[in-house]
Amino acid sequence: MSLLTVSGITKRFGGLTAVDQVSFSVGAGEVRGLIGPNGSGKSTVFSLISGTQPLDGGSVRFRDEEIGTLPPHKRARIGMSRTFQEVQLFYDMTVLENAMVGGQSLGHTGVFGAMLRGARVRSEEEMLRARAMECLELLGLAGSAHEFARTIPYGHQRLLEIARALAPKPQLLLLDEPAAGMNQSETQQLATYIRRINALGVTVLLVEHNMKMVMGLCSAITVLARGQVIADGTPEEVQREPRVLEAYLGKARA
Amino acid sequence: MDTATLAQLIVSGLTIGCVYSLVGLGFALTLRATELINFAQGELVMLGAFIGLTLLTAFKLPFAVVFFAAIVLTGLCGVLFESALLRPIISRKAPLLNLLIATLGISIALQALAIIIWGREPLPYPELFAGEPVRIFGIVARQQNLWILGLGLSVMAALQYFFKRTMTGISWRAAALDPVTAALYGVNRRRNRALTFGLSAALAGGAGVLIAPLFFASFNLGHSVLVKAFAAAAIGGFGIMGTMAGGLVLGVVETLAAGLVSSEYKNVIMYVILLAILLFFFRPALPAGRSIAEGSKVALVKKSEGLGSWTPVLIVAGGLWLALALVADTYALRILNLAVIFSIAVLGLQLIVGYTGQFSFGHAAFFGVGAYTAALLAVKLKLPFIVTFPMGGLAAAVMGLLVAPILRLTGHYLAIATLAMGEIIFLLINNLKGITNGAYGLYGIPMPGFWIWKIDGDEGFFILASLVMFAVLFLLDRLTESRFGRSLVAVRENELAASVCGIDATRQKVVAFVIGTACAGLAGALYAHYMAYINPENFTFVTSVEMVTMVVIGGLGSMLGGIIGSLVVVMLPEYLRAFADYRLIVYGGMLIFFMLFLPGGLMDLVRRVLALRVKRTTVDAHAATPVKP
Repeated sequence: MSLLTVSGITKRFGGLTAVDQVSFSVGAGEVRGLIGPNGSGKSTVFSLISGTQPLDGGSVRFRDEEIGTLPPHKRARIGMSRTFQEVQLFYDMTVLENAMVGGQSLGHTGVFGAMLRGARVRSEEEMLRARAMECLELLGLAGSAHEFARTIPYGHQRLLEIARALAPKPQLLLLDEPAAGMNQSETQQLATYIRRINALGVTVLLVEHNMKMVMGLCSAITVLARGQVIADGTPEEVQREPRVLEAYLGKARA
Repeated sequence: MDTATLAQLIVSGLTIGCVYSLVGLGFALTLRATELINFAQGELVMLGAFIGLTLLTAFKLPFAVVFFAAIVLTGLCGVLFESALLRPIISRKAPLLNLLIATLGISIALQALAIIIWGREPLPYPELFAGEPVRIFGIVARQQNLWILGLGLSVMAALQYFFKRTMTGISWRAAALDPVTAALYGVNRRRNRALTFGLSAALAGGAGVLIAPLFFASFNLGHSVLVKAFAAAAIGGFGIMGTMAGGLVLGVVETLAAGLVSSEYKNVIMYVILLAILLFFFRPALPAGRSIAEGSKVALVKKSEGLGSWTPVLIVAGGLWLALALVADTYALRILNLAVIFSIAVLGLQLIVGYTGQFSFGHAAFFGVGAYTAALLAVKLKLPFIVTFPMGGLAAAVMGLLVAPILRLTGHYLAIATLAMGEIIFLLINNLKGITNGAYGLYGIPMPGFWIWKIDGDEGFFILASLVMFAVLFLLDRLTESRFGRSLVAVRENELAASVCGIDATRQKVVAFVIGTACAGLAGALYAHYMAYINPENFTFVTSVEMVTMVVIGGLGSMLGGIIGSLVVVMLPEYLRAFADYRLIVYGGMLIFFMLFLPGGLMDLVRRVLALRVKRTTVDAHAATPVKP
């Protein structure tokens, strides 16, 4: 059963069609890779799915609901979480607070609840804190929970973004080049984390440049080139596809 | 109205418009080259006007010479401000908020300087080009207007030539389009920035010499030009030709509005036009990933150990605070009372600026709405304080909700929009004479009282106001330590990330804004009942700036800081009473000083000292632990 289905999504920037009629679907429970050469439109596809850029055409269905016109915060509330290629943290909040903001949609306290601070509000606060700690522990960040996000190392900041995205117990996690800027051992560690997250029942859609990681991690891969899908299948199938080789290495000279 | 009068209105509109164009060009240039609005731009106009006046009267120089001398001199001032004050802040990669506040500081300090040198009274310009009015195609125009128009248009033509034809101009445009690439091609960015500030200051100075003969030279000349010039640049999309055209159009619209509709409401019309343009064309389509306040505020401490754990200390401090009513004399209590009233409004502003990261340079307007609501209910309907006080807060909150659409703007545009919004509310209070009694103000507002407890002295009021302040502090502190409060801070830090965390950034901004304006309204109601007399002048832009100063000096993102800032800003000038005219210099100087040396405010200082102590004790503890073999 597919959790997310995009069909014919299109995005134009001026005269350039960055994403052109892209369709694919992500099955519940799988780790799908979205790969392609630089400028093939992977990050734009992510933005279209998560709603941080408006669609110019096509539809996005998530859990059998059309969400193509919803603003990003509404998509987040129904179980879709994402990270960014360029880390976007709340730098002047602590690591724990970052993760707690991530878990926002698990709670309900509004202005008046916060001012009265009854028993229910306090227990909700405890729940958010506990959930945030759980996610930090999962990504090995519990030790720096009370440090400010701006002070932890870059690799940890990337992991914190994942922890924050995980906090609301999403069904679908969109990871935009999570290994960018990481060294080899950090990348291996990251792959372990992603497997662990997936084992908890979270479906993962992964944009990544690191081929080794993608091939080892993903059960299915969609390949983009110049804004179009050129291949879709298991890692083995995709690797055999001549159009993929061509897109990455250029046309072989006859 | 016949066509001849209409044509005459248009000519004088073009004359004023030409001034807006020149100042607006300054905005366009600085915004393009430095991504910064110079709030002191208006005061540079004023400076140009006064320099021109002095040269004309004291040195008896001919007008053309004076015009160019004023251009050069104010231009040099612009370069000076950039290199002495702004560059040190920019080089620290300071956030937008700090830079805007620093230019605000320069602007206030310049006003104060002008008051000291040239006095408070507007000074008339000597009649220039007295000759007979000229008649062209049946339109009668004063020679003076034609000269102004001619000089203004030729400066614009020269500017256009500079940017299109000279190497310096072209490289400047390149740097404005893409600073990094331009730098790779050898464009010196720092020199460019200094040049830009110099150039836009020079334009403002020239505009000052041109506009002052039409009006008078006065210390607050710049303020009225500022918003309109910004509107001119916004109409023109911050392009060079566009801004020139925008200013001319705006000048004509203004004189026509004054001539055909009402001269009292012409500025309201102008500001509404600006807001409409900003909302229509300058609303960001996508949430930004960058914070205007990044690094400038007191960072949130681990909130689990926030104010809550300090409860006993706070109760004792609160008790001691109330005991001040017994020991302080009437004079001191009066100042304290004002400080407490302001601190209530500032707590609300702190929520908007310090926590949610949205500019508001119009907070005093909501203070005014609360004050007027309470005063009118008390004076006209004889309602008791228990009704007028909450109604003051409610009215301000409703007004806050009404103007909330401007919160869709970000950065500079929001800053200028809140300024214009504050002006509109002020002008409405001032002009709706049937209700508000206009500039005469409202008299005879009774002191607060509850059935049998009638407050008649400063002591009683101090207790009442302090209790309100404690309550607001308590509630806002709880608010900021909650899921809701975290979402506000998340919006401040990074709207993009907040939105993918399920936070509706726009809604949270509006909620925070409305709560903040309600606080201002409550403070306003207290103010009205305490002062017994209010008039519109109590709620101008200057008061808004005072409130921003209190927030910044106390420390962005700290509620206690808001209170400390209010105390300092209200009390300091009282102790400098001997130098009444220097009061504004002190505000301006404090803003600049804090932005340069202590961007986190006084609370940050306190926190750093505390952190130092904590660090030392933990180090000691480590040293005491015996090392295991």
